[in-house]
Amino acid sequence: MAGSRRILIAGVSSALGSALAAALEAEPGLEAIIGVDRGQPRQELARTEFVHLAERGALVGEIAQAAGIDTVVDVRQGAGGAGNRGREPVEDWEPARGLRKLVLASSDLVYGVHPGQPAFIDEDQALSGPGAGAAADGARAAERAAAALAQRRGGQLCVTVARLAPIVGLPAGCARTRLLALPVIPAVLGSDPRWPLVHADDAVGALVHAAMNELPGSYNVAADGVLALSEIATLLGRPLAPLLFPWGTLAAVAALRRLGLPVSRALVAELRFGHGLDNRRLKAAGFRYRYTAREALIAVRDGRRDRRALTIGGEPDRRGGAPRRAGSADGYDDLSPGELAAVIPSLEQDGLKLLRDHELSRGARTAVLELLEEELARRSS
Amino acid sequence: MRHGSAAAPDRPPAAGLDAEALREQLPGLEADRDLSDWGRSRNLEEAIDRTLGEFLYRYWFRASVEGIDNVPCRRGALLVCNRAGALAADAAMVAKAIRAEHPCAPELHVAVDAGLIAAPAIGVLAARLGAIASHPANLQRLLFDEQALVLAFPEGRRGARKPLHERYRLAPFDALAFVRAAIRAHAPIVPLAVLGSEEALPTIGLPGVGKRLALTAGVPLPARFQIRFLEPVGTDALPAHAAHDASLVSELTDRVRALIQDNLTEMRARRRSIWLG
Repeated sequence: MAGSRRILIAGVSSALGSALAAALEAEPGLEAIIGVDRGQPRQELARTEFVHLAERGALVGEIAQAAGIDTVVDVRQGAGGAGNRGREPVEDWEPARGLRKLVLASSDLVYGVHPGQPAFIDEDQALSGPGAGAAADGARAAERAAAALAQRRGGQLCVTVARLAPIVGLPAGCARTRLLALPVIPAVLGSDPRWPLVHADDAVGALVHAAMNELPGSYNVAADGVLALSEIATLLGRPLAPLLFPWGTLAAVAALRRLGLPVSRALVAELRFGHGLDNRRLKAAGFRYRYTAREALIAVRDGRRDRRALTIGGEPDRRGGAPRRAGSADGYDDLSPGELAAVIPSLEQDGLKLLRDHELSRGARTAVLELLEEELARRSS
Repeated sequence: MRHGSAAAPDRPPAAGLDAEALREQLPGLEADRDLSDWGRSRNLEEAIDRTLGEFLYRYWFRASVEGIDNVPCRRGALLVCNRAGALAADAAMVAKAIRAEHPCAPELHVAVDAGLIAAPAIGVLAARLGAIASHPANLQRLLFDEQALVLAFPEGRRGARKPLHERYRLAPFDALAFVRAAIRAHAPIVPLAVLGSEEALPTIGLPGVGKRLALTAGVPLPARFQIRFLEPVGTDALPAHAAHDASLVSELTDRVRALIQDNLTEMRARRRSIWLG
């Protein structure tokens, strides 16, 4: 089959969708990128055409057919279905007759969570496990519909199902990432569950890889390294609040619901048991992860400074897409000289020079400049 | 941290994924992590090993080890042991024996009930010390992909609940899953016989109650431990479909069980004293 030329992103207004659009815009050789969603996109899209999906208007499949789309990337179920506000059925690819590839972003919730699972769940695991919860139902239904569609179209359609682990580095997201954004992370006393994670760059990269290559079948998208919740809390620098199951958890559920975090039995099961994902199939298919789970958390933590990337619900406070690359000085403007004094000794030589140039270019703060000069002088002596 | 555009470009997908291809894709070890992906803690293990492990192994149980060379170096193997005694003394001593006596000192994982891993607090502690749930996928990953040692107790709970007068008489092995996993992973089966743990933590049957309880409340008596590793039973020569052949699997299981039983009987006959060996 020829490579992808005209791509449609369903769910482009979600954080994941925006990041995906930004990544696809950087791909050469794409004739057209169309983004479709109910709500408005959260950022300026360079060459992605946005089509607003009205309440009773055209289906995604009809738009795809009309625009001559050959590849659909559907992220409405990804990130725990956070983008799918109305929980309406999202298996509406049928009218797209000319579709050659469907990439469905699903979630690892489809596996359910219960103690009898293997330590690293692989893609062949049956999806009928208990403990899945409502969020998984949407993803499971979408996967079933995609499989049925593939069957009906025979060899014409290549369906890739990407089961995403909880994504770090994007605002909003599945229940687990939102739990990690709280100042104190609730935990169940006596349990230290293992959670799979994936960096936003890698999640988006995996979807792009699936869109640009032939990857039929299901693939787990998770970074190397399955971290225990205590490790995650240590890396993020937050305390754990152990709750006694089941009474403590019931009280916490009520409190968290009021904070806007939907807590389900499935989430409590995740806090008690957890699971790991076997991510090797996607790697064997040629995709390279750029961050391990640990590196992903460190990158997000350091990139945050005093801005929260993992927020509860709504507002993103920086534009969706790739996090700041190391080597940019953007985050430093918010820091006072006192805080900078603490940080400066740990910077590399290049970092110091960069910071000095940055300060000079923006109306330098004398105190900061002095600190920098001092440090540079000390280093070179 | 690796950066976007500077990293290696993604390759086009490989045609056909087989077990070998997946094995190559195992995640690498991260040096600054204390916990492994299985939840095993290096620091905790070392701390307990240096203190309690040393004490129990050298002074309390005074374990004597034979046939340590039968444990392969840097190669996956399934160790099958008789279970006796209520607590994990036998598992702990076998692991310590391998760590202390074996030239390569490979890491040993202990296959336990999934229910134990899921239990609050105890489950976390067990996982930190190397216990894993006996799921076939776990066994495959350890034996084949990671080429690690897995210690299994096929007698299961029946072994732990044997009354004192029935000690060292092996209960029927519930070893289907283990033997199948070993065949599938082409891992040798190393039977081993442990003498002494039954007397260290004796269980008695209370008359009229029907349930068997550990006699001593968790403090093991200083019986002399003897650990004998037997010649490995190879699975390389078995055909690919052997894992599904029930008769072959049960034949292999019976052979392993017989080997352990014979050795246990012989070791018991040779033993002059429970406490002094």
